[in-house]
Amino acid sequence: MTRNSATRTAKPDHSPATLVLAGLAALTLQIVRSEAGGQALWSVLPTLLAASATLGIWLARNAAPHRWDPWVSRIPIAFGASTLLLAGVLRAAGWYGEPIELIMLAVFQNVVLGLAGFARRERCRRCAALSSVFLVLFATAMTSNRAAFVAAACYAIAGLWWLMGGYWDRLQETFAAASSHRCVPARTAAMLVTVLAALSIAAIVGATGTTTRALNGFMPASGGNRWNDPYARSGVGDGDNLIAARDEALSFGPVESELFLESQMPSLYDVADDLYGAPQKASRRHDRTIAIAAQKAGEEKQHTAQASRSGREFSAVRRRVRRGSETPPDRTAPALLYFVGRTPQHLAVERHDVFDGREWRQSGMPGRLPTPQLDLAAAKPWIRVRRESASPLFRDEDPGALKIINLRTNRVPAPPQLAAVHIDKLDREDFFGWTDDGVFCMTDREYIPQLTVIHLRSLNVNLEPLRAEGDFADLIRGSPGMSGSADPALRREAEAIALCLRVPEASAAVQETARRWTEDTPRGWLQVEAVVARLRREFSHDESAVVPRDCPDAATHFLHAGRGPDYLFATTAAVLLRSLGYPARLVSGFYARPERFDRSAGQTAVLKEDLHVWTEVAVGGSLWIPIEPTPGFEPPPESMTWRQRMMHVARALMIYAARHRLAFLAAGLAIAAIVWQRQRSSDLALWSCWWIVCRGSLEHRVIWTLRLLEWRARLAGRARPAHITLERWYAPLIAAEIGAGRSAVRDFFDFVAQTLYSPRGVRHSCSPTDDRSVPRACRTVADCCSAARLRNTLRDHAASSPPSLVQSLNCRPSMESKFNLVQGNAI
Amino acid sequence: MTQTSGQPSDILHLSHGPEAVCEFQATLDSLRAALNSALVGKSEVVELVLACILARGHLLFDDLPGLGKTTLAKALARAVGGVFARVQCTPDLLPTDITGFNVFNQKTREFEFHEGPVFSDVLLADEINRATPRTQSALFEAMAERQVTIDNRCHTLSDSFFVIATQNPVESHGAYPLPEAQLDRFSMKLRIGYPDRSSELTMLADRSGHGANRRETADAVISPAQLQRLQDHIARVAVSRAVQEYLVDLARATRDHREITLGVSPRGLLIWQRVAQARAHLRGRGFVTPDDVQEVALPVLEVRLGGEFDSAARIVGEIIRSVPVPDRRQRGTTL
Repeated sequence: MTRNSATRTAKPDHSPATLVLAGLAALTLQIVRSEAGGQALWSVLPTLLAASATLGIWLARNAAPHRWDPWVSRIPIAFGASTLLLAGVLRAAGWYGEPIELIMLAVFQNVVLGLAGFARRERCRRCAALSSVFLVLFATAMTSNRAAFVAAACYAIAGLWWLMGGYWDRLQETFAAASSHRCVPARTAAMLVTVLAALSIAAIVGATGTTTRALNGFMPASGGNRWNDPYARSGVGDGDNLIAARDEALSFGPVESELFLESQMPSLYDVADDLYGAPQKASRRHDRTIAIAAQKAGEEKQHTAQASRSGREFSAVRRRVRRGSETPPDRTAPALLYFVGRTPQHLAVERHDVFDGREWRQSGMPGRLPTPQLDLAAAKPWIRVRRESASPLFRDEDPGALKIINLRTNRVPAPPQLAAVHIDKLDREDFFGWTDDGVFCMTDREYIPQLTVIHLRSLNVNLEPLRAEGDFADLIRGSPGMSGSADPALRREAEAIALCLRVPEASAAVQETARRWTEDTPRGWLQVEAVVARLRREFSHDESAVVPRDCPDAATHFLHAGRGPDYLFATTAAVLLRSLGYPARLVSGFYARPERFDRSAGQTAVLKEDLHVWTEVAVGGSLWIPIEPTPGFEPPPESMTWRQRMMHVARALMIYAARHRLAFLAAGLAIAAIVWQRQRSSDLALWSCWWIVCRGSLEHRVIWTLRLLEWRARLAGRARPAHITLERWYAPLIAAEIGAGRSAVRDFFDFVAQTLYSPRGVRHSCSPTDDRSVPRACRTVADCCSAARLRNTLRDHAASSPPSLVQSLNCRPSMESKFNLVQGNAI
Repeated sequence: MTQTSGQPSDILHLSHGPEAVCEFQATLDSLRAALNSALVGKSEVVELVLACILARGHLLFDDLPGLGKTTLAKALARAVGGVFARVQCTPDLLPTDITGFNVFNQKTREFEFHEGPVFSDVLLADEINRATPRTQSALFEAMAERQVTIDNRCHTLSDSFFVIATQNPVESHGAYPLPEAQLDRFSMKLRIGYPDRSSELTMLADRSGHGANRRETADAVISPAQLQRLQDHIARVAVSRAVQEYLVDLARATRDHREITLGVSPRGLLIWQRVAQARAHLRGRGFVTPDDVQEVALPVLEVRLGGEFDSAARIVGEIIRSVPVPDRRQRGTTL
């Protein structure tokens, strides 16, 4: 017999690596699918189910690796078919749809997962790995998402590992000269089939015409195969007349065209006007425009289709259509505007500073406002109105963008603390200015042109210095002493602030409420927060609750009613704060809701229903900080340093703990006790689990008791090495026991051996009257062999291990020292 | 060729199931006692010798001179009863001296077959590595198939035939190492080793006062037929699927080990399982556990692993450490 004739099959198992590969490929595709938008439930849930099923199959097949499996070919096919079926049903029902290429890839992904479940088989393993390569390649080719590339990089690393393992196996096989037999030349056959198929396709294409014809019907294309897929991704079938408008703007979409075209369609209207009353009819006026190149101007005369639905950064574009009657109808969008940036966001449109108890008015005194200045940043013309260095409260800038759709106003619905705006090619600062109520606007224009993209930068505010400062009201420039200043700008500002401190006479009762609410709070921003918190906590938002017609003071009524719409919350907050000496004013605008965020377009739609009213408080003169008194609306985001964030959390935790001090004390003591006695508590937890599950058949009890013992040994740091038998490892336990316990533990290990290795199980050795001995032995082991006992016993055993049988067999010292394998300690 | 005196009393009531373990206990205890009295202080070696015999295997003692190899072999032969034969192997020993030969009878004018020492129940081949390879090969067929072929005639040996061979590993001058093919026919190789201090004192006290020409006259405790039935019974000791998989994994590990050029053969694997069954039976169990497999691993593997390694114990230790012990319950066991 020669060594080379020996069969070698004890190769390392690469199926976990294949599972990882398939999982990473699925993850990459999942990222692409989530980027495409839609409801995550329908894309994530089936994938999760398939992945779980794959894992289950793999674990089950690991338990019986050599069993013949009839499901090895059916399950991957079933996975793929069910995905296709689900996609068809969802599309037919109109619940959810994905582009056809993503559905194809999802089918492919589930086939890969199905194959990976059988990765113990070499053929399945290789097939799954190869298919996952294609999956990752296709997925990464159709995205620019960074997360997808990170997943693909992880896949590449795992793939390298997989290949190295495979290569090592091949090396081993080469040198071992394993016996092999060849039946069907599968690889050659597969190659032949592929070549034949390719030749057939080439022949068909060559015979019938162009490749476009060959592909007609397979994929939706914007090239004119007359198939418009409503779920297609960007650029493919997304409306017949939409083009990106990068070079030639032949249609409208909220895109950054180098042309500043204007639609002739009068579709703008001002929602705020609907709310607060129509403005006076203005005399004929001339809007300011910016000149465009002469050669491009002619295109304005052409018919332009309009797509007000701002779905994407670059809307699908079609070149000028020659068939005039086939011009598609416009798609209407419900959105007034789209906001790109962090949500929730308060976009202010109007500000009101004078309140008479029933109505807010604008005084026309906006205070001191910064002058817009042109600032060229990265060759882009930015109109800057505020800088980070203007106040210690400012931290950094947040980018954002507005896409004006159906909002007819010249005001820019900007986030608080607007720092700069940018409209492509608009490089004149005199296009912008401030309204009388302090809203940034495009002056000399009736409204901002529809479909304009306005890039914004707004400053983040860190309120921590304000909280620490104490009574900032003393420092504000609007204090009465400053109204006598010589500087007219300062004087105007002081007058504007003073207007925001006036409390209506009818609201005198509110002053007492405000004082009561803040009597325990030191003056300053904390009082503002206390008022806001009280309103948010104790009052409920109710759109239908209105103030009676004859009510002299809305704030007083609201405080009594306890409910109301958002403008009553804002009004009451302003009056309360004014009565405490903090300048406050009412702001109306839009609330960009996080739930309206469109993942595929990366923007948030702002609808008519998002009209919202909130309050602003002046700190440091011209700096107005928005506050959100209405429950259900997120407060404006605050930018904090990490340390402040930690302190904030710690403070909140401490306040919570102080409120529930008894519960916290008990929990703390319990945690301390558990940590102090962690081994005992873990032991107790294990015992409890054992007590719950250790029921049923005798074998079941024995196995669970053995598991308890093994877990306790791990807990005690005396885990049994995989190559040492149970009998030998736990032999010292029997020696350590005395009396009845010893015999019970010995019996237990006899039962373990019978359960694990005897074909007849443990019941075989038990007479009917002896049936109680198994539970008794299990109970004794569970009670006596605690983790602490195992730690002591097994350590002692290791220190004073008796000479092994093999040691006694080997008289040579070298053998004695190296082999400590078998010992004659019979149980 | 000698024959032991006396026949063992028929105290066994053999049955064929593992439940009947206790019925063999008295005989096994007698056998164990006989061997332990011959070789003081080496009960663990005696257990392995018993396991080997009960597994119907051949035994090779490999140790220094004077450690009791021949004594133990003779005691075993006497205890088993039946026909005992001894061959002192030397370089001039011929194959026919072992197997037997045909002699022409002048009176009957026919060839008569004279049986060699292999026609016995227990054959003790002392210092087997002193015989030439040609003579060693004469034992091949006898050990593997319990038959010899002489002049194209096949002669069947006793059903309970087994070989106990000894060899001296130190004196390599004039010795012929056993080829792998023959080593694989032995079930295990055992070393006896020096006894400990107390055992040596016991031995001295036991022998003081006896004459120098004292002869061992112990009776046989088990007849060849009884031994054969016991062997049949032990072959039925249950081996679960998990333990069999463990055995196979261990065997494959020997073939994959980088220092081993000759791993365990399928025949070796079968022998390993049988020895483990015998070991389980000696422990009073009707089924094999991984402990049984591990405990007989070294003597079983040492005789058949080939390679340039310094210590078989180290290699066997590495192999056992590389394969996890089955510790989960599995359905589907084989009896």
